[in-house]
This record gives sequence, C-alpha cells and structure tokens, in this order.
Amino acid sequence: MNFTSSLNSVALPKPFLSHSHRHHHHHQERKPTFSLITCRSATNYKSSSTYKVKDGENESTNFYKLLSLNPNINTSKDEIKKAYRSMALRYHPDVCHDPSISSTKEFVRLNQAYKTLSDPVLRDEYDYELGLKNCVGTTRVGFKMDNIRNHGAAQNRWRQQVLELKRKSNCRMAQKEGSWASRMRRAHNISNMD
Amino acid sequence: MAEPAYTVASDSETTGEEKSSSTFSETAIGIDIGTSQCSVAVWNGSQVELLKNTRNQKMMRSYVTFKDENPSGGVSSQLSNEQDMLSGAAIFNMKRLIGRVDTDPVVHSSKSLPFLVQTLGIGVRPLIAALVNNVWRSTTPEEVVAIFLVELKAMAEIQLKRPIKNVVLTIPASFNRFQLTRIERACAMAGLHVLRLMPEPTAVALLYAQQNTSQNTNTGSEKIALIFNMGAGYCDVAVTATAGGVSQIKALAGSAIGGEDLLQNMMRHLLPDSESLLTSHGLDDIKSVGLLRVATQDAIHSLSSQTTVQVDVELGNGTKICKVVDRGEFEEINQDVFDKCASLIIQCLHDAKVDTEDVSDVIVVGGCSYIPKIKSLVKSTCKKQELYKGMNPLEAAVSGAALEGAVASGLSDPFGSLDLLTIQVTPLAIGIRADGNNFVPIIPISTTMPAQKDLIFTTAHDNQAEALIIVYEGEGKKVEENHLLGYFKITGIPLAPKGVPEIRVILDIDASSVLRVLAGVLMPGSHQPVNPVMGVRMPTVDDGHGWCAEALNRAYGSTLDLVTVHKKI
Repeated sequence: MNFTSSLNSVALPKPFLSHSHRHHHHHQERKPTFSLITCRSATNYKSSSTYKVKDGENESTNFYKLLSLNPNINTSKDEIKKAYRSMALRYHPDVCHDPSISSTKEFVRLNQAYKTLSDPVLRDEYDYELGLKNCVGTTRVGFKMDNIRNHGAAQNRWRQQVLELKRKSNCRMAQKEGSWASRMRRAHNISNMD
Repeated sequence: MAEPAYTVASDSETTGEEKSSSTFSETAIGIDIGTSQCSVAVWNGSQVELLKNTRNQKMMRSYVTFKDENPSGGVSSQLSNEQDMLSGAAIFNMKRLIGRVDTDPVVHSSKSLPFLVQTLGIGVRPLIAALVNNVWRSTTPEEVVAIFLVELKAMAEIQLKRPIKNVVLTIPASFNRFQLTRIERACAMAGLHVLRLMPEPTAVALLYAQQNTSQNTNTGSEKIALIFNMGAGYCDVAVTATAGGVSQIKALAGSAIGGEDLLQNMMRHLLPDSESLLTSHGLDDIKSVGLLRVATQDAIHSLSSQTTVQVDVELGNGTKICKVVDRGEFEEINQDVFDKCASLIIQCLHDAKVDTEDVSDVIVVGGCSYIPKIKSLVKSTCKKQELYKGMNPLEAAVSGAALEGAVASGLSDPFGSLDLLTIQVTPLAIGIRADGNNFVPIIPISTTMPAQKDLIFTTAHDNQAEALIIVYEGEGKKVEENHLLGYFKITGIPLAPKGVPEIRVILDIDASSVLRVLAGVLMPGSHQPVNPVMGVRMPTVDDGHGWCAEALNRAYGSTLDLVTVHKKI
C-alpha cells in the first residue's frame, strides 16, 4: 500500500510525492500533475534551483507553454495576461465541463504559471532557469533591474533582489512610478520574502 | 487522473461535493438571501430574469412567522400589516446571526430585535425563539433560512415548471468557513444543492464583466472596478480586473455592518433607553420596540430623498416620540458606521495593490446604496465624481448569481453572453498554529481559487512523536484572533532531535471551495511519508467553538507544538 494509491482513492492531490515524482513522473502518471507547483512553493523555503531547468525541458510543465505562449523573454505582460484569461476561460472549473479534464488541477497549474510569469522578479528567475537568458537582471521592456548584478550563486541573487526591491519600493513610495501592476507585484514579493 | 465519483454524501452535513463529471441537466438558479430581502433569478436562455411571487414581487422580505403549526415565510405569505412582523412571532435578520456564537458582538446587537435572542456568553450558539401563543418556540437561523429557501424553491419550480436542485447562492464576503457550512446546511435542509457560493460583490463583478463584453467586444484592455455592496446586514467591497468577459477578483473586504446598524443607532437617537425596553421580553415591550423599529425605518427611508423627517410614534406604553430629525443628525449618529465603510474600501484597494486613479468604475449596490451619505463617501474615498450607472442596486447580486448558475451549469449562448468567468480569491488567510501561539498562513488572503499550497514545519521538541495541526482562518497574527476551523493529531513521528522531521502541511481548496488539510511526515533522505498522510476536510468544529483550542492547550500545553522551517537565504 503506497502513498499514491491511498491518496488517489479519496481524490486528494498528491503533493507529497513532489520529490520522488520527478523520477517516476512519466510512467506513473497519464497526465502531468502539479508536482511542479509543490516544488516551486517549497523553493521559497529551501534552496533549490536545478529542478526547474529539468522541468523547463518538459513540454507540459513549461509555464509559457501552459499558457500557449512561445517561451520568449520579450512576451509582454499584456500578452501574458491575455493568454491567462483565455486559458482560464477554457480550464477554470466553472466553465470547463469536459469530464476527461481535471479542470481544478489544470487551473491550479495555470495560476502557478501566471503568477510566475506575471511577476517580473519570478519571471526573470524563471527565464534564467529555462536558459532563455544568460543572466538574471538584464533589462526587459517595462521592467528595469539594471542595478542588480549577477553574482552567480542563486542565493546571492535572491538576497540581492530582495534588497533591490525594497529599495525600489521605497523609491516608489516617494515617486509613485510604474504601473499599478508592477508596483503591486513588487510589493507583493517583498511581503512574501520578508 | 479522473476524480472518483462519490457514492455517498459526506458525513459532514454539507453538500459541497466536487461537481459531478456528468454535465448538468438543469440550469442552476441564483438566490440572494439578504438580511432583509431575498430574491431569485435565472438565465432564461437569452438573459437574466428575476422571478416574482404570487403578489408580483421580485424582492421578498426575509422573515418567517411561527403563528400556526406550519411556519410560513415572506415569499408565500402576506402580512396584514407591518406590525404583524413585530409581534414576536416573526423571525428575521437571520443572515446576521447564522453561524455566530453568543459571545459575538453582532449577536449582542441583535438582542434589540422584537423576538428572543438569548445569550449566555460562553461561546455557544444563542437561543433564538418566536412567541407563539405566549410560548417562546425555539428555532435556529439555519431553520429560518431553510424555510424561506423552501418557499423560494417552490416558487421557482412553479414558474419554471421543473424541479430545482442546483443553486448559486450569494454570501457576504466576511463569512468565515464555519458560517458557509451553516448556509450549506440550510440549503441541504431545503433540498437544494449548492453549486457555488459567491461573495456578493463577486456576483456583481460577473454582471459587470458581462456588461463590459457586450459594450466593447473583447478589446483585451483591462478595466479595474471597485464594487461596494451594502445591505441590511453586511457591507462588502471587491476590487476586480475585467477584460474579455473574465473578472479577476483582486481583493475582497467585508464586515457585518449594514442598514441594521444605522437603524439601531437611529432608534437609540430617538429613544435613548430603547434597549431597556426589551429586558423582560413581555408582549407589550415587543410591540413597543416593533413600533419604534417601523417608525425609524420609515424615517431613514424618507431621509434618502428629503433632508428632514418628522417622526411621530406612540409606543403604546405611554411613551410618545415626536421629533424632527435632519439628514445631518442621521449622518452624525452613524459616523462610526460610515467610517468603517470607508476603511473597508481603503483596505480592499490596499490588498488589491490598486490606486484610486487606476479604478475605472465604482459600482455601488445594495439596499444602503440609496443613502446619500453612502454614495458620497464611496465617491470621495475612491476620488471619483461619478458612480457606475447601469445596474439595479437591488438586483445586481442575484443577477450575477444567475449568470454564474448558467455558466457553471455548462450553458452557452450563441451570442457569447455566457462566455464569462469570475476568478475568485480567498477572502481570508488559512493557516495553522506554529511557533508558539502564532498563526502561520499557508494560503494567504487574496489567493486565487481553486488553490493548493503547502508549507513545511518541524517538531518543537527532541523525540517528539506527535504533533497537533490546528487550523485557523483569519488575518490576526496570533491564533486567538482568528477563527478555529478544526484540528487533528499526526502520530508516529520517528524519534529524532527537534527540527529534523519534516512535517508537510498542504491546504487544498477545490472548485466548490471545499477545504481539505493534509499533513504527513517526511524524514530527511526519504521521499515517502513515514505513515499514511492525514487528510481532513474542514471545518470540523461546531458553532465556532474557539474554546476547543483552549481545551487542547490545557490538555497538551506545548508538547505537541510545531515550528516553521526557516527559509534558508
């Protein structure tokens, strides 16, 4: 009696398998589960970065592909929002009535993808992990991170970003610059990382 | 992985099972059970239609009278006059009392209602009773709500000529999960299945999304709207980003303040010792309070259209009130309520990380939206000159619920009028007790639903073999400031120094907003949980029994405590 089957029998999600999952993923599951999501949320508490590169190679867990976008650092925030909305209209449990689709899981995955890609810092990290860009902190249209230096180590980068965001946040309080969306995401990130 | 079909209903009273895999054969109706009025609407194939009762009313009073053997509600029966409702036999305002315990200030403020609300102040449900032939006959808020749900159901079945099972119900944004189970219980008693529970402003948001798609066909440009909904019992605020028929709720805020508070403040203003009238709960006292209530209500309504009102009422016990009240006085005595309304708007904008200049439309709905001060305070707080027009303030929430009913029932419309979606967020954070008496949120406030989040905890003591998972909902930093949802124990943690075992707690909210809490133990180096994982559907506690937590503390102290695993930065 393993953990998977006992959980499956009561229709519960299987995030406990997140670690082992990566290895058994393909033969155990007909469809990808949101193991990725659990991993990602766990990264807030544990240092880990390698898995993301692995997952990035997997078609079904690439956040861009989840949103039906081509992985591209130049994809605008509006395009991401638009993609998220149209995917939500297909997969949200309220509107998805296809019994062969586990819409709740699909939608939770979409949310994770959207949350990451719509957040400049998380997206920057993610693009870096995907290999879409060579270093974190290079300029993207609509989001400036020019002062953040890439120290190589992920941990350093993380800390640097937190500090930088705090500084920017303080500046923003004084200047009120940027769109509401970028401000809210920055603010949100800081509160999460604190 | 397909969801297994449930063959038996869950034991936990509620009916919130995951929607079955088969498509729905019927369109769910929308029901708005307000503190003072209720209404029903349905998608009729081309638009939303509000159903009327036999007296041609779309808005029906939310009360039940216990005069005869069979209680009857405001949907079917007609009161001969308003005073009938105030004879002790009619129970109303139950939406304010449902799921609340007798230590709750909202329950205490309800003691001036002209029926019996008895409190013992120990954290159990209050005794509510109607006066029938000079005997106090006890009832419960669930029963009262169920009675008018039965009547609404019967009314809809006659008009739609089909049985009604599935409903979308609007609820106040401030309802906690325990209160939601009480509403679901009332629905189950009435033979209804809750397809969705929608916070009232989010139902309005769906209607707004529909109005916007028909106006500018999917331009993709996002519009931010602030929705302020205030009825007799509750005030709710939502901030939503809308484009292409999709309304993404950014934040929700709400409180149990409403027209009832305005009414009580006004009653106190007209008769300073009005509360002492009801101490004995004699028949004459009830009548006096009832007369005062009716006169006050009329005066408040008049003050929405005129600047002064003459109150003339004989309370039957020798007291006669003869007073002129102007609008300024009314606004002054209710300053606290209005301040609270403004603070909810500010809080909601803050939680949504939205500035007032980003807000395109400000929508004010609900019974209190007719009060000039409400309109002006919302406008000034949002720094807007004009409010959104094009919504009936009393019908917006129920219309949105009917739209959701159609959408969630799988209906589509050839003109795309149902290509709509409201993406909901959690109105409150949910988490567990850890690090001493701290509340550690696992699903933060304003998290998109359905959601699944996890956090890793560890033991607080060396060789700790068991741990208590105590789940709370709320925003307070300390657990006692939040609402207890339930608790369970995980056992068989392998003996190890503190901080070594990894206790993973997962919170899962499904599409029907059902919350499940999972907890399992992992040891370093292993990817399999040590023991079978615990999966508990919450809430498990009755009646918001906060004192269960105190009892647990007395029994176990800190021996079964958890601490958070610190982030390694």
